[in-house]
Order: sequence, then structure tokens, then C-alpha cells
Amino acid sequence: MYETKEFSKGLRIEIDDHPYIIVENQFVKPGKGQAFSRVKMKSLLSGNVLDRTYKSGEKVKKADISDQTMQFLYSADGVYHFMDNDTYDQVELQKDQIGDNWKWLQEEMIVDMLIYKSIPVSITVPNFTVLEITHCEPGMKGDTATSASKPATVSTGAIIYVPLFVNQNEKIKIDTRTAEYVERVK
Amino acid sequence: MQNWKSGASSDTLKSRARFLKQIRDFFEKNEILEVETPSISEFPSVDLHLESFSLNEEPGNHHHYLITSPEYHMKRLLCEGVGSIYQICKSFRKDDCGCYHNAEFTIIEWYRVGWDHWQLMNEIEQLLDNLLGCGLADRIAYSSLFQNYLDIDPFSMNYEDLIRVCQKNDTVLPDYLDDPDMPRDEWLNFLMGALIEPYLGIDKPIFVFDYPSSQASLARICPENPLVSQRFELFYKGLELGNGFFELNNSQEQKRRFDKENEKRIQMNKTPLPIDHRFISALKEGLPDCAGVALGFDRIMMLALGIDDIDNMISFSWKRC
Repeated sequence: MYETKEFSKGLRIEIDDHPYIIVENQFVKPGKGQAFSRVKMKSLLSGNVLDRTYKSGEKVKKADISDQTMQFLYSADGVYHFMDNDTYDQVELQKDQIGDNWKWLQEEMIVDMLIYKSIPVSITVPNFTVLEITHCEPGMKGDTATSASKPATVSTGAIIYVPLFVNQNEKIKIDTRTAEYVERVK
Repeated sequence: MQNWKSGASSDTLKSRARFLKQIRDFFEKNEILEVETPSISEFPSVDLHLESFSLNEEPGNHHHYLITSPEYHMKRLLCEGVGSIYQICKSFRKDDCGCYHNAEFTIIEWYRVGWDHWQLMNEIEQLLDNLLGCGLADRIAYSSLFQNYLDIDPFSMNYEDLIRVCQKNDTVLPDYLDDPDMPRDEWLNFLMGALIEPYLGIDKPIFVFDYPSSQASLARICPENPLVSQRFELFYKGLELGNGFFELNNSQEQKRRFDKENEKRIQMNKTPLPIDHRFISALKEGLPDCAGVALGFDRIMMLALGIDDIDNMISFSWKRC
């Protein structure tokens, strides 16, 4: 159990048999009144946001959540297959559990998998990844000064906006949190 | 880890020092005497919702407590006839922790002998303008506030009203308040803290006066309307900055309120606390008519500097101390 004073951003708690992560926590103490915490939390399963208020000193359950390092193997028919490199156990996630991460997943990529009550729930990919551009309009040599950009398709099928000087078949580094181009990679 | 370092930048520390001087100059100009009273007291605050730090001592000995405010001691000085006094000191409230709360914090507390709370509000307004350049403050009665913001009468609201207000404001009623027999003040405090306070005094400071008698704390009851007390609070930019009273000086009434607070403590499974008999004796001797206020120095500084976490306002906050 966590007491309200332990609440902080990122804490994983369980409400009504459902795991949540705290995204905002505000301690409120009105004048001479009972102190309370106003908590904004996000479901780790659906992503829905919930607001709750707890009296100071109240306790909530810890979510039975663990993180596991997994290697991505392959996807087929909307099912994504991963393997635990220590035990060689394989697990599957559905497309909707992968969310936008499909844009960055490449074979052998190491990801963090969230396990709730021993059931895999979602993944987090590394903050940066390198992908090859499979299609884009030809680059304009020497044009490194302007901030204009163009769409480029990368090997996973995702579309990234890149500077005009970047060419097809080049590899680029991408920030997966913002889906933004960082730099060219030789 | 870098957490041996101060949370406040050196510029912030310099501003703190400058403001402290400015406040002392203000009081000197207004001929109010600076005093110092103890941080450690044999008696805690019995206030239901304030938790004092208790100092561990040998079993069998008396406990001592860190003060939650210098109020009892300063009033004892007033009873001796020192005249108007102020103090800038540390106060301690257990479990208060958040962006705007640190368990150890700095209070500016002062008392004006011969004044009522209306006169004191004018002086607070001047000090605040002096520090923040915020101009004159608004004033609104507690009941008008609830009418304006939530369309309810705080003196007659019931459980159904509470449900309605929460629904209308898209707010889930917390479990601990979901009880038709709950004292109304608990609901009012929640509504105040959750749905009113964040929107109070956005453009300029605002005094809320005429708090319900049930929340009088150490204020007098209004002679013309026993439903309300002569207590006020000050808010600016959604933050509570201070609390003040036209001070209760009837020792029997004060003792009754302390006893009542202890009864509530027992009802809520909290330990009843020893009542400060020295303070009660002083009141018996006679507290001159006076008004007093406590302001949160750290919060005023946060507003002055645009800092949104008290950890960056204090050299070493709770998590660095």
C-alpha cells in the first residue's frame, strides 16, 4: 500500500482492480480544514485519464506491475512476438497494445515490457533509434540552412519529416518520444 | 546525486534576504516591535487538522512539540501589555508536503493592539503591495464566494447540494466525504480547496471574510450575526497566503473551543492533546482588543519570483534537509 504522502508522478497504483500511473499529484490544505491530495492518473491498460481525491493519510494499493526487458522477434497478422533473452520465453502483444510503437519496432530491438499480474500489457521502446529511409524525394545538395522539411518513409513504413538535404537509402536517428528527426547516421 | 545542493538558486536566496529586510523596514516604519518566541513548546496546537511534531523524550517525561505557529506565545506577550508586535519565524506542520507546502516553513505573524480585522486587512494590503506591487485587494464574504462560484449557500447546504455541485463541476466526490452525516465544514473545506481556491485572486489579491462560526478557530464571533466569525483569509493567484482574526479574548470561550477540538479528535480516532493552560491563564489576565494575522513568507516569495515549487524557494526543503 502507498500512503498519500508517498504519491508522486510516475507511481503505479491500483484502483478497482485496474492499474494506473500517477501523472499529476497536488497536495491541498484548505485553511483550517482536512488536507487532501488531488490525483490525476492514467490507466496503464486503456490510457484513460481519471481524477481522484484522497484524504491525507489514506492508502491505495500498489499495482502488481513489473518491467521486463524483451527482444522483439517479428509481427504477423497484427500480433507482435517478443522473447525474454534470459528464459527464452515468448510472449505476444496485440496491435492495439503496441500503439504507435509499431513505427520504431525492428527485429532484435530491445524493449521494456510492462507486466501487470503476469500479463504483458504494453511496451516502451528506446528513446532513440536508427532507421533507413526507403523512400523520399531527392535531396537538395548544400541546403542545410533552411528549416524546411519533407516527408520520408522509413523501413518500418512510418513517415518522418526530415530536412531537405536527406536522401533515400540514408540512415537517420529518430527521437521515438516525439517522432522527430535528430541527425543523419553514417 | 546532486541533492546536497540548495534547491534555491543564489539569486533566489538574495531575493529572500532583500524581502526580509523590506518586511522588517515596513514594520519598523509602522512602529511594530519585533519579538522572538520559542520554536519548542510544552503544548501543541489542538487544531483538528494540524499535526505537530512531537519531540521524543524519555518515557514518563512531558512531551514537547515544535510550534505550528507562534500564536499562543505571542498572545501571552500581548497579555503582558507589550503593544503591537511582529515576528518572522519558522513553524512546523507534520505531513504538509507538496509544491506549496514544506513541513518547515517561514511565517510572518503580527498583532495590532486596538485594531479590528478590517483595519488589519488594510495594513496587510499595504505590505503585500509593497512587496509584490499588486495594488489594492478585493474583499468578499465567505457566503458570497460560495454563491458566486458554486451557487450554494454555505450555511444551509446539504448532502444533495454537495452531490449536485460536484456533478456540475465534473468532480468525483472523494470517498471520505461521501457521507450524509459528515459535518458540513468538511464538505465546505473540500469545495473551497478543490473548486474555489485555485481560481481566487487571479488578477489581484482577495480577502475572504465572515468565515462560518464553526470555522472560527481563534476568532471572535460576529456580534451582529452569530453565524459568522471575525476571521479572514487572504488569497492571491490561486494561493492561500494568510489567515487572520479579530482575536478572541474570552478565556472561557477559548477553553471551550479547545475542549471541543479535542472531542472531535477523539471522534476521528486521533489522540486528544494537552491544552495550553499558560495561554488560557494569560487570556484570563486579559488580552487587549487586537487583530492578528499569519502570512506564508515562502509563498509570497514564490509569487514575487514566479517560482512554482517551494523546493526552489527554500535552501534545503524537506527532501534535501
